[in-house]
Amino acid sequence: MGWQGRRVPSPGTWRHRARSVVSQLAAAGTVLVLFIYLSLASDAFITANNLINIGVQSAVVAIIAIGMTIVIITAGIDLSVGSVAALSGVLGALLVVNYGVAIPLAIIGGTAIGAVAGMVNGLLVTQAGMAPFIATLGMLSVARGLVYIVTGSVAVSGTPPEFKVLGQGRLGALPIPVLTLVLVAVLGHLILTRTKLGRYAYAIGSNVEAARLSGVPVKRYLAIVYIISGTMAGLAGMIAASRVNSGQPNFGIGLELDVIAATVIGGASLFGGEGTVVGTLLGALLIALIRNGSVLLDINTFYQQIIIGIIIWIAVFWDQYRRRRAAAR
Amino acid sequence: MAEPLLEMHEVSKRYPGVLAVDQVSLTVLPGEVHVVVGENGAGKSTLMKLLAQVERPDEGVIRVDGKPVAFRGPRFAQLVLGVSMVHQELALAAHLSVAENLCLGDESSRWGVLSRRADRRRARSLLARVNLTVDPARAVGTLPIADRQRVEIAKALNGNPRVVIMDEPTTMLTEAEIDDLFTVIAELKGCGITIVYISHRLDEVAHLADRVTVLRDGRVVQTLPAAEASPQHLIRLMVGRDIGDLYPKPDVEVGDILLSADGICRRGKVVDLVDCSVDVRSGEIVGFAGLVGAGRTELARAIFGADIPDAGRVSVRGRKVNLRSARQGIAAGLGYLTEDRQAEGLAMALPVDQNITLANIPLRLRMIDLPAERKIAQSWGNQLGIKAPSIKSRVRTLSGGNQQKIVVAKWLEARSQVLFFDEPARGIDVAAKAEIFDLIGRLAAQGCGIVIISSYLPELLNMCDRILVLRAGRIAGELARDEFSEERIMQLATGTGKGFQR
Repeated sequence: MGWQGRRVPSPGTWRHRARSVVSQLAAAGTVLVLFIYLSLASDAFITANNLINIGVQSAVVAIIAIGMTIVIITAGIDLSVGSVAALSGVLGALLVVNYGVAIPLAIIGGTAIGAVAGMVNGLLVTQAGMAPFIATLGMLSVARGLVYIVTGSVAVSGTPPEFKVLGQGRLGALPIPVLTLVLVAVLGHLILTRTKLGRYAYAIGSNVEAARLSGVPVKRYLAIVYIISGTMAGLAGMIAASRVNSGQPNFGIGLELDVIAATVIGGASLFGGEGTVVGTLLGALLIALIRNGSVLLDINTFYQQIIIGIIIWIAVFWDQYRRRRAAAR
Repeated sequence: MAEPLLEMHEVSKRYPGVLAVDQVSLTVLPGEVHVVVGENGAGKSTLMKLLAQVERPDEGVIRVDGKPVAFRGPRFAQLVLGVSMVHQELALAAHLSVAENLCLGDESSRWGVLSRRADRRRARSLLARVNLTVDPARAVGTLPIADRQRVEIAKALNGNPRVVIMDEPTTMLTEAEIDDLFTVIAELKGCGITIVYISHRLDEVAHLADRVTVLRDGRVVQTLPAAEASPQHLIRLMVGRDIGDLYPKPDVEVGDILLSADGICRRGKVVDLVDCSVDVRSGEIVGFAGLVGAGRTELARAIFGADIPDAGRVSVRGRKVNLRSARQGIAAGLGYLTEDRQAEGLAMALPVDQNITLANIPLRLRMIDLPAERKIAQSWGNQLGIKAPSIKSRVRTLSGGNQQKIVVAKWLEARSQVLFFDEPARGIDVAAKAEIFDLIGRLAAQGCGIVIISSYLPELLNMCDRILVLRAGRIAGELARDEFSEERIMQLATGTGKGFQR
């Protein structure tokens, strides 16, 4: 007896890999179609400036969404990312303006604030046993409140021009936010596919009891996952602050929705156990393309919201359909 | 012969990729208990869902009283045709009360306001028909499984159906509860209700059936009177070939003590464990018998470390285990195959190989060694005869027997020396069951210590060297192989025996 491996190719072969890429086709196909359509519909679309702009625009959402993907794979959710990003941005800017901290250190400091917020989320979920939705909903409110307290709801400005490097600088032709995103994505992909952390995240999301009974230290890894999400929110918050060269107290309101949309469009399941970095990147890119295209084609911004909502429906519907078909096979 | 009450004529049902029911013709006579047997996946449940109009047939005619019936859904089937169904997976709303569940979809109301009193009254009369005395205001989620199932049967009696279909109602019950259920079935039959009863437990046929229909691969193999349906004959019809010994217990020299648990105590939700001590030797198969709620699963989980005991010592090969978590138990060489694979045993959405290595992931430079992982999974797959399209197939898509083997592979890969099998044959068809018990025997022969928990006594009587009987969280007695008998075990389990206390 053994494997009846005739019909289905064995893993590691190109056919298997092709198949797993095909499963992302819903998002990838939409991105492609939209890309072609926009390049035909608008002269301003395929210009170096605009494409770079799209990259930079999607970078903030995509970086946070990669952290979110890991959380969602564990069947959790992090609603606090928008507020945490704002908190990191304003505190990072304050470190420079008020305390004269060196800019690289301020960036690390701001990102670390995100990690701390993530750790609090993680402890609330694992130690206090709160539902992730509730724990991070609380953090959404608390972090935003802190932002307004420390800033007095006034933007933190007066940062030196070097502060802009992270968000506006370029290395050769490539904008630094995009490079940062690439780095985060590669790391995220490796974590998910090649480390215990990633494997345990999928296992916890698929069946937390099975994971625990298999000796997975569930609480420790769940806490790590929220720390990662917070850290990504912090990093993205610093990039966003750097782009506008100031800490904006109103940054990131509602951002969590875009982030969750990107991961869901990219094939992550809110029930856990499913999700990939590649999918999430495509999801984030799709959202950025819609926003960018709407501006170029002069579509009312309110319609963007509707389009994004409909795309979420289609993506999830397609995903379920695909899964049902695969299960029936 | 009486006119058939129900008649299916060349009925087929196709799901994407499978022909679940293939040109089935079946008649049910009024007043009979008609047992439908077949392996998992033979199409029993689907066939019954067609009868109860839960699913719409693709082809064929269903007649009631000789007249073809339209398809209008389960409510129509129950209230108009008088055909209702008790589903296998209990379909009750745990948060609602017994009465609310019983009247769900058909609440008594006056001017749009629910009348709780009328619903409770109706609930009481339904409950009386299934010999269940519970407060109709109690939330269903707080009832024990056996009572929940009784509620489910009561629900099926809404609207005074003529036919009640029961889909494997005994899978979650203990022997005593099964006897009670059979009494209820006999009473319903006495009231003139026709019962269609799905089962894969052949001993139930003799207890219940007037006639038996055997299904295989979506087709009817044969319908025969119960008198002609010996278990051996039925197995042959179900499987399509002879199966050797269902419980192949090898002769194994029992060796040194592998696992020693001493004075385990733990306060629990269902039952408190009090001073339970267990030794398991190399090559030995020990059974945990007892009623549901006696603490068998709880004891295994406490020894393994899935639940942390309040007191007691566990040592493996003479070395003390610090039971703080399942992790410690695994590191010491223990493995626990849960009763409910789907809820606790496997990550159903993950592929075969990732489930096999979950308790012991091969690493290289702190990264998962994917080629090694593949090799490990491949090798266990071959050794244990796991049948799957590929090692990347999601576990969810595999049969119960193959899923069980994957859990076994996980523990063997984690180098477990003592394995707890909690209801290892649950939800597995006859052929796979024989394979699993053969595997258990081989593991014992290789020097593993084995603990089997089962509510089905023949499994324990045939496989075990020793049986510990639990009652209300204590070990009520211990039987060596030459003392085995169902009566002795039941006496110890229910406390009706005279002084077998050890």
